[in-house]
Amino acid sequence: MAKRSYREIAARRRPGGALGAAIARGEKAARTVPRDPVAREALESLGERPERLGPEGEPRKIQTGAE
Amino acid sequence: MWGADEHELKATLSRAGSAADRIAHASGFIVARLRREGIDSVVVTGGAAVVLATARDFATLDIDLVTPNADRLDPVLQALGFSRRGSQHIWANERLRIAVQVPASDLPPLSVTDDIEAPTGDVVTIWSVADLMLDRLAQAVFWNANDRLAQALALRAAAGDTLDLVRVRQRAAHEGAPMPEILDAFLRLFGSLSAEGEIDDATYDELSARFWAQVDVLRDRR
Repeated sequence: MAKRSYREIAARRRPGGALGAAIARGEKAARTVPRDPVAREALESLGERPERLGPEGEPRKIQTGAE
Repeated sequence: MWGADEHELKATLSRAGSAADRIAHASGFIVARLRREGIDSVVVTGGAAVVLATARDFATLDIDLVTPNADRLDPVLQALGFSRRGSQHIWANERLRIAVQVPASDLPPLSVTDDIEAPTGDVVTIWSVADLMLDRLAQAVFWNANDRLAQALALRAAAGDTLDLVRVRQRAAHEGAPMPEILDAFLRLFGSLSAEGEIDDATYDELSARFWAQVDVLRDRR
C-alpha cells in the first residue's frame, strides 16, 4: 500500500457527520474493553478518567499478537 | 528538571491540536527516536495506530508498540522521561501524561503493516489499516463495545478501495467463528462508506442497529 500521511487524511475528511458524532459518543461512554491491571494503574497515575480505564482483566481475546 | 530529550518531546507535543493529535505526535517522535538508536523493528498498534490511520479524535493516553526488542526500549524511554512500571513492558511519563506499552513481540499470523507519515514528519510503521479494522471489529463484538465499532468504521473508511478483501477474510478465518460472518455483515452494511468516512445520522443509526441485530443472530447460532 502506498504510504499514507496523517495530515493528508485529516485534510481530506469532511467536518461533522454521523461517524464523528458516534466517535464522540463512544469516547464519552464508559469503556467496556478490559485492560490489564499494570497498564490500568499506569494510566490511572497519568490522570486518565476512571470510566475510560475499563474493567481489570485480560484485554485481548483477539488482538495484537496474542502472547 | 527536564532532560534535553524530554524537553524536545514536550516541545513536539505542544504543537498538537487535540489529545488524539498529541498521541499521533508522540508516536512519531518516539518511533523516530527508537529508530535513531538502532531499534527498527517497531510497529505501532492499538489506539495510537487507529489515530494515525484515521486522524480522528479517539482519546488514548498510551502508545502500544509491537517489537521483539522490548528490553532495548528502556534507555531510550528513560531519556524521554518515562519510568518503567514493574516487570512488564509498560512505561509512563507522568509529566507529559503518556504511557508506552509493548503488548506483544510479534503481530498475529497473516498480518501486514502500513507506513504512515506521522504529523512530526517521521514515517511510522503501523499494523495495517485492514488488520486494525478487523481487530477493532472483533473487540466491538466480543465486548459489546460501540466505541470499537466506531473505530472499525473509521478504519473501513480510511482503507477505502485499497482494502485487500481476500487477505482480511483469511485473517478473519484464522481468528475463528463467528469472525468471518461478522466481517461479512460489517462489510455488507458499511461497505459504501466514503473515503471521508461520513454518512448521515439516520443511515448510521439504521446500519448500526442492523449490524448489532445480525451479531445477535450469529451469537445465537453458536
